[in-house]
Amino acid sequence: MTSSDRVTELIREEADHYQPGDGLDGIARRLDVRRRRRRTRHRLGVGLAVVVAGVITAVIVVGGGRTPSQDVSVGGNGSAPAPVVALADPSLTPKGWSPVEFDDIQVSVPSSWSIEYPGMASCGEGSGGVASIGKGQDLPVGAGCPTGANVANVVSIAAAMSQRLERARHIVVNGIPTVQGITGGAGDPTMVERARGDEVEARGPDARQVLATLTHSPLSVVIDSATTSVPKDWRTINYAGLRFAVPASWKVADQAEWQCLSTTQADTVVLEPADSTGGESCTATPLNTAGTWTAKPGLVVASGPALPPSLADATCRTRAQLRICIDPPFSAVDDRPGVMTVQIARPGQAHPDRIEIGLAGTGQQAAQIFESIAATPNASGTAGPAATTGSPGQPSVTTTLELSSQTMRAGGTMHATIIIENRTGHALHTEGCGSIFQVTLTNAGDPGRPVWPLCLQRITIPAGHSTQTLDVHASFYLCGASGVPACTTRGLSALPPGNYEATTYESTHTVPVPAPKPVQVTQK
Amino acid sequence: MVSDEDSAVDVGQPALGWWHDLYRRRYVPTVRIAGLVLGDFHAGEEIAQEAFARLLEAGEGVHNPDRYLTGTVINLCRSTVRRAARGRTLLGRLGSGAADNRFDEHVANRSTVLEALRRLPIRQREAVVLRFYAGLSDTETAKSMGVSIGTAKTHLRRGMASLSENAETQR
Repeated sequence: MTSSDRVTELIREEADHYQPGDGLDGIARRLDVRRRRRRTRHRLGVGLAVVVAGVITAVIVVGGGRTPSQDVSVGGNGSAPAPVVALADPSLTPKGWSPVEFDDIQVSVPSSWSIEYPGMASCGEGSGGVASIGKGQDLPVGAGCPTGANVANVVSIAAAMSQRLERARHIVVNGIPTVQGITGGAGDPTMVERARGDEVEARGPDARQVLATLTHSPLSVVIDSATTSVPKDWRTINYAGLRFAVPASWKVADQAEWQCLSTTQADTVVLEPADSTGGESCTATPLNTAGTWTAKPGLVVASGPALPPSLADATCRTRAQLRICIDPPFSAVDDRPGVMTVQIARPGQAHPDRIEIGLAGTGQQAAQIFESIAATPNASGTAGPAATTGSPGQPSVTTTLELSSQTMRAGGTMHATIIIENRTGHALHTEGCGSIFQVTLTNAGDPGRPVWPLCLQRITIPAGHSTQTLDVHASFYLCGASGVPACTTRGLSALPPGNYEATTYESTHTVPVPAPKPVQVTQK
Repeated sequence: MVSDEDSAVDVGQPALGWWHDLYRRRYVPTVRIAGLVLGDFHAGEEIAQEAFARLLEAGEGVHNPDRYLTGTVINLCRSTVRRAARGRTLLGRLGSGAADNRFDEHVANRSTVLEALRRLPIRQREAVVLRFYAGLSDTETAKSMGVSIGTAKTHLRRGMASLSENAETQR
């Protein structure tokens, strides 16, 4: 035997010694991940080839507990998916129960049940049951909860795991093809229902009833709705360089600061300046009951430097010059049920805006809101142009910049007046130092960003007409820093002569900033 | 409403039969090929699963599923090796010795032949595994590697020379 043959034989011995496990579950998981990414990208405006439904559904079955003795079959007839998006069905939620959604599916549980993150395992003490959203690493459903005769009601709704199901069978529940089976053996059985790449595990007296409430999640409606028309009678709102539409009956509430946690309020748009965080910290906090966390048809739009720079594991695409990232469900400790988190950035924007859409009802309304999101015309950078709230014909807050002159000498000062028309019918309250506005001269090479003084005062913008007068300096706004002249004994250096724009900056995003106006700086 | 599904599609249906046939026939060898190329059979399972998933998505339009599978595995292995190299470089820049220690310990537990194989350049490893373990011809090996036959033979010759030399010194 040559040394070459000997090497080949050794390699063969080593390789053949390794016996891999069944790869079907792993393949199914991979296909599911790819399917989700594809759907999200498609929703964000990138047309991709549609994978044949038969392939996908077959793979779901592969991941759904196929056993050597029984081939589990799946629904559908192998044709492409229907063009009509299946909506969530709120009528499946019994009275006194609340929906709990995760990813593509939703079930309902009694409103008194506790909602927990995976691994908390309090077993819903005193609440009749617990629903766990998302799944920890290899953590069995209801880990730590009592078993046997006094079994607690425990439900877990999460991405499907690869464990094998006993007595697996294929049935359609409320129009959704599922694979149902049990795990845990005869001593401690848990009912499992797998659908759309997710699964519900349930045990306890209410397990069967919970599984029977399966429906599509509102999030899946948003993702699957490739194009959704926005009702003509909705009102448009411009805020922080973004434009979006909501039902005309919804209220608009200005929040003093970013609350960190989801704060969707029923039929309300909450506008949150995120220049600093509020009292709440962005860390995991105990959840509450299913009733408390029932999704509300509302919207939160936050904008400012206190927002996190990016979402972990988000799927992102550019749509109409906006970088839109959809946060996967329960990917962060501050995620909440019933909310779709979207991060949106305009070109050059360091801290993307954050939009939270309440995932209530059928999901259609959330899909329409998502579809309406666009950049305010001419918006760019971190400070949007003049913005408005209200219907297109009757904005509720407008601001205008007026200058005492369109020319000024280098190093000189002139007055600027910001005129605010607050038609909301109530005063707007915020915080700042002196004024929430500053006006600086900017051009392509110098953004002229202001330096905000350090103090915290309560500032009120009254209802109706009001004005604020500010000074505009034809000087550099600071000295000694990179890209600006060194500090001089006479203070800040004069701007070089040329054409500039008087640009308004706002420290709080409480009201829209007015459009810039041209200014010519002449020799001293 | 809960109802039994009448129009179910069995995974054994003819439309997917070709894929299942290939899976039954090629999954385990594919894991081993990827495991040998990577020097890690667990990672080989991941690679094989990804390759079969891609094949399923590519569908019946693939002209030669066997070659598609092998080519995908080789490409995925290269990507894995590149990512690992970048990771080691980054760790090195950060001054962390933890990863290197784990790596050495892992290598020490391997058999001598696998260790020698693992130390070959990636292209030589691919050539040796495809030609002598997978049993491909020189032409098939070259096509799977995406190189000319001459290049594949050169990688093969150099790889086998290193392995034979190693085997001699181990005697």
